[in-house]
Order: sequence, then C-alpha cells, then structure tokens
Amino acid sequence: MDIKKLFQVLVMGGAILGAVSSCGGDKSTSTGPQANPGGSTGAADGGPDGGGGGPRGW
Amino acid sequence: MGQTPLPDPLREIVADAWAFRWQVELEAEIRFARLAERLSQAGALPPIVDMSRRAASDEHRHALICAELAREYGHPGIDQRAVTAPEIAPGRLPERQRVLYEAVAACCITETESTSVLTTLVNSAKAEPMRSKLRELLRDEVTHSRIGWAYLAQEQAQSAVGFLSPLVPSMLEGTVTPGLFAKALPDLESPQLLDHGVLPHSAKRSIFVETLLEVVFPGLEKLGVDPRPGREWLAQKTAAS
Repeated sequence: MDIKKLFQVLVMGGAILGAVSSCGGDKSTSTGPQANPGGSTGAADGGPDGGGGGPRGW
Repeated sequence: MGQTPLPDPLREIVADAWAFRWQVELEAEIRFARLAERLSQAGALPPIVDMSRRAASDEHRHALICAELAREYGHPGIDQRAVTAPEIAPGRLPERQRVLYEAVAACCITETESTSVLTTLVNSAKAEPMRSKLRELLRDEVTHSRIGWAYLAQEQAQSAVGFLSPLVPSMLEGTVTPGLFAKALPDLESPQLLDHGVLPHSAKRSIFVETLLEVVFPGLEKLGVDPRPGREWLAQKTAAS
C-alpha cells in the first residue's frame, strides 16, 4: 500500500462508515463559525483561547 | 532483535523516538477515551463511537509496545503520570464544533499522518519482530484515521463544516514535529534507522508533505472543508526550509 492509495482506504473508507449518501463535497463550504445555539462559554469549557492546536503524532 | 547492530548515537535516536511515541500513544489513549463520550453526546453514529472507544484501548496497547521497544534500545523510561492530553479545539467554539475539531485534528490529520509513516516503515523494515510490531500498529491506525473521516462525513451531511477551514493551520502546527522543516544532523538521516522503525529526517518530512497533498487536503475538500488555508500553511513551511 502506498500513500496515494490511502485516500481511498482512509477518506473514502471513513466516508462510507459515516453513512454519507453523497460524497460530492460541494454541500457545506461556508466559512466562519456557526451560531452558538448551545450557549457554550468558550474557554471556560476547557479549550484554548486562541486558534486551537493539534495532537502530536509520529 | 534480528536487525543490524546500531552504533550508540543511532541507538539513542531510536530509543528517543520510541519513547516519544510511547508518550504520544498515551496521550492518544486519553484523547480517544474522552472523544468517545463527547462523540456519543454529540450524536455521532454508534459505529463511530464504538470505534473511538476501541481506539482508546488500542492506544494503550500501542503504548506498551512503544515502551518495550524504548527500553530495549536503552531508554530509561518516561514519567507516565505526567502525560496529559488537554483539549485542543478553540474554547470559543460551541461544543458540537469543538468535538468535530478534535476528531478532525486527531484523526483526519494526526492519525492519517501516522498511518502514512507506518505504511512506509512496514514496507522498509526487513527484520522481525520489528516488522510484525509495526504491522500491528498500522492496522489499528487505519481504523483510528477513519473515525475522523467518518464523523466529518456525517457532520457534513447534517450541517456546515466550513468553519474548520481557517483552523486547519493551527491543527497542522500542533501535530508537526518541531524542526521537521529544518535541516537535520547527519545521524538523523541515516538509512540504518529504518530497520529499527524510525524514518530518516528528510524521509519523514517528505512523507508528511505527501500525505497532506495526497490524502488530507483532498479528503478535507471532498468533505466540505476548503483546504486552501492548509495549503498556504504548507507552502510557507516548505518555502522556509
């Protein structure tokens, strides 16, 4: 298996698991945060104040 | 261990690499256990929640493998009590978006990159038992990566996911190994490292970049997240190196 094949194995394999009927990718490309219907208090919920981060990997 | 003997400087590099992975796997165990509960509360499909729960125990097993290898190569060990996995999503986002952020950062990016690294290592390592251990790790990482792609696909079908686009550079900045885009010392480029489950520095960098270009960015675009900010981040990193 080479890296190019990982798109099919991981992305498309995952998309099928997510039970998506169409993986067209053109449905939700809007930018900017959504409204906050849950009334989250943001940083008080535990996340960083800034732009976020990512877990360390191999 | 069936591999060619290593000179001390290279053995220390290998020991440090496996100790680093030991810590990374323990962090992932904590993260997946928490993510499973949050995915469940956010309405993720049951198979996605189940996979995340299993991922936590997978990562614990992976940590044991990494710890064993680190010690075999002479590492004194890490302080497991000091390992934490704080939430990474911006606190200003509502809970549902924070869960998606964490799933994308941890699975679509970090676990996908790990899968690429392990794919390369499995293809390169010739000796046992290293090859079998790498294979075991790879098998699970494929599933862990799919958790994120599956949940992103589910969310894309139900709501806008484009808010993630400008946040992708932060995810990448967090996951990238410090110094990856810098020139490395000659020992870190030794091809001898491959038989011991460690990528030479420049190979690690090129695999990271190729995985972003061939898997992560196309995957994000396919599932409704504009990859342009991520591509710009990568262009800046590679131009500076």
